[in-house]
Amino acid sequence: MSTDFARRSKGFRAFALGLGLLSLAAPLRAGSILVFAAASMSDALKSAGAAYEKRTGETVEFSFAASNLLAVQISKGAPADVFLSADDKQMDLLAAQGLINKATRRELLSNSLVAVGLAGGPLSVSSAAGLASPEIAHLALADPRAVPAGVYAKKYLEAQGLWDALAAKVLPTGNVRGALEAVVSGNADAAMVYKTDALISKKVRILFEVPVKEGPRIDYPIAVVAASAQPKEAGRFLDFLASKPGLALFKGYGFLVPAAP
Amino acid sequence: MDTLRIFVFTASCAVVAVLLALPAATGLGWLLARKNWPGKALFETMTTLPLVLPPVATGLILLDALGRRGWIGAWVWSCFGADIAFTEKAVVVAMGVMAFPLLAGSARAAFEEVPRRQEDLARTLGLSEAQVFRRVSLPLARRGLLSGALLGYARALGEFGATITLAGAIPGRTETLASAIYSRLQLGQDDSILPLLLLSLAAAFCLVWVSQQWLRPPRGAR
Amino acid sequence: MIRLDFEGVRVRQGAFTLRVDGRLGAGTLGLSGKSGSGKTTFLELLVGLRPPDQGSVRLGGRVLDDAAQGLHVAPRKRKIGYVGQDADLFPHLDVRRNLLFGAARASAGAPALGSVVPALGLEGLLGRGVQGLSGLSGGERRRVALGRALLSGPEFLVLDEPFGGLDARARSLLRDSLKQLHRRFRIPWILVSHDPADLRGLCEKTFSIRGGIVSGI
Repeated sequence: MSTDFARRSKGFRAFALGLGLLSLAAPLRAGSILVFAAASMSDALKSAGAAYEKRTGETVEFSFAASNLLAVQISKGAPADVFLSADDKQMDLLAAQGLINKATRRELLSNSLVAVGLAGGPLSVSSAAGLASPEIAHLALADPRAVPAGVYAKKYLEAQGLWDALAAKVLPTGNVRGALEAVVSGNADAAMVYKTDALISKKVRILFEVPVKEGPRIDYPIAVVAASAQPKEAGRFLDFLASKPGLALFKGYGFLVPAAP
Repeated sequence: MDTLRIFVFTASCAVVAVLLALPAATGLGWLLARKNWPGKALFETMTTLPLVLPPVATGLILLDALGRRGWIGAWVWSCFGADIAFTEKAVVVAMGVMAFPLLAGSARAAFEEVPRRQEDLARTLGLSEAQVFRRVSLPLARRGLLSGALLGYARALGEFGATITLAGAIPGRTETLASAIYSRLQLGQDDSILPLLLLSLAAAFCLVWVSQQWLRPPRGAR
Repeated sequence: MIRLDFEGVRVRQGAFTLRVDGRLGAGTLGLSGKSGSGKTTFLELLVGLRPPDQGSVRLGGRVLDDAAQGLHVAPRKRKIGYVGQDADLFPHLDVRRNLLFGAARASAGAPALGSVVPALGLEGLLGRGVQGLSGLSGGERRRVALGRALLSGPEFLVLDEPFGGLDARARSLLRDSLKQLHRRFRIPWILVSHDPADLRGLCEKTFSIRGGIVSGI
């Protein structure tokens, strides 16, 4: 009897402990707005959120994931107030379903493409045409069929008339981080990635940057979600991000800011 | 500090998820092991699905049901004015659903291991079916149930796809060990991943070690 | 005193069919038969673990089974103590808890632990923990199983090959225990053995099963 009881009460104690920890670990913040954003922007957005809270006393929470997953979640009624996509396509999809407030949509940021090689490596490539040289046996790209960074890179290389020559040595990876890792690990000699990602890694160096005029437009659109229960608060945060101090924060992380109209 | 908090949150959610799923999974495991009923094969297949489907797909199905527009989510919203999706409850639900097939499968195997003779014997000694279950089947299946619970817990602890789909990855609210590693990976913050990885590794090591201790029968018994 | 009436009982098990007809009546009954003759099936029919496909079984005036009427009394309501061939003890319980397993449901006049333990010579085993269970000898296991069945307050005992696999000394110890039980508790039994000496020494009447057909009743 006594061991039976001890076993049962041990189980109960673990349960109570679990519940207790759960409630401790999860403070509920009422009244704050929820921003859905691409995982690649989480650092910049977190500091923007902190700056906004300090300035206004209003709280902002984020949920970070891949843009396409975020779009699906919003289409299924996720309680997001603001959507910041790493890709126009996802925002267009939501707009077509009437799920975002179109009047609030704007292109908040943009990015540029760069080619990278191993830091301290021997590559002497300094232009797009150089990618075709035999110095580069493998060129890593985020999957050019599906992942936006790869799609943009392919579009650019096609425009330069280089794609046919390069296609055979392209090494497709799951995402931008994968392309960078391929260079670091030596599986690829070079990669084309976003400038913001290239700047993060100390193990790679930028070979050349695609001039904004030659490259495809890489935009990060933002909008207030149509179903938001706090559209006014959401709009205020959006305005803050687009303000001078807001944009300055993003510049610090290597993002480009669209030229003032 | 952030690392520790994320770990404690993830571990607690997994504990609650497993404890909530365990009674139903144990009951189902027993039904599968001992009873025949119409639709058994269909039901069995359905509960195994989360094991086979891509976790994101499981998450999307859950989101369809529990989101504010889902049939369960809408009902909860109208009754209590509370969300399930994108809250810590969603983390628990996603983990519980992903762990469920492992719990039920282990329970089934554990009950199948219990000799029917022992249960029959208890019946001839005057025990009702409920008493046979509580005093013979359950204690004899204990070892298998415990190791199954541990396995399910390990699964819940590392679950990513279903959790991030149903609960998002809201720092300080629904961000788990797995989604924290994912978002830091996206940012290339290899240094801040390291403590998370070490904690995950330590937890996984302990779980596997303890489950092997439990699986090993004690000296002398049967 | 056992009084069992069988009417056209058929229990099918694959290609094998057990057939029982007639009446069994005695204080202690012995059953002989080769292995595979259907002894175990017959005993499982008695304790209710195997309902008949046809026919009816009555104990005293009480109907235990009636296939035609879909009547089947569950094993737990039969009050028939069963000690199987392997004398299975519950491996998760110590000796004492094994003994008392069915005692809570026994009726008021049933044997108590204080009288069963000395009758079966179990005094030295009561202190054994769960770990000690596997250290029990074959004879000890049977005596514990016997005590457990007795403490659940049965109307009679069904003993399936209680002497199987025991050495001469353990056999004679167990034989003495059974005699003791009978003297003290007047408990009737049906005992299965293939040793005529056991049957003669421990049972008033004997019957046998051959090829699934019960005869001598």
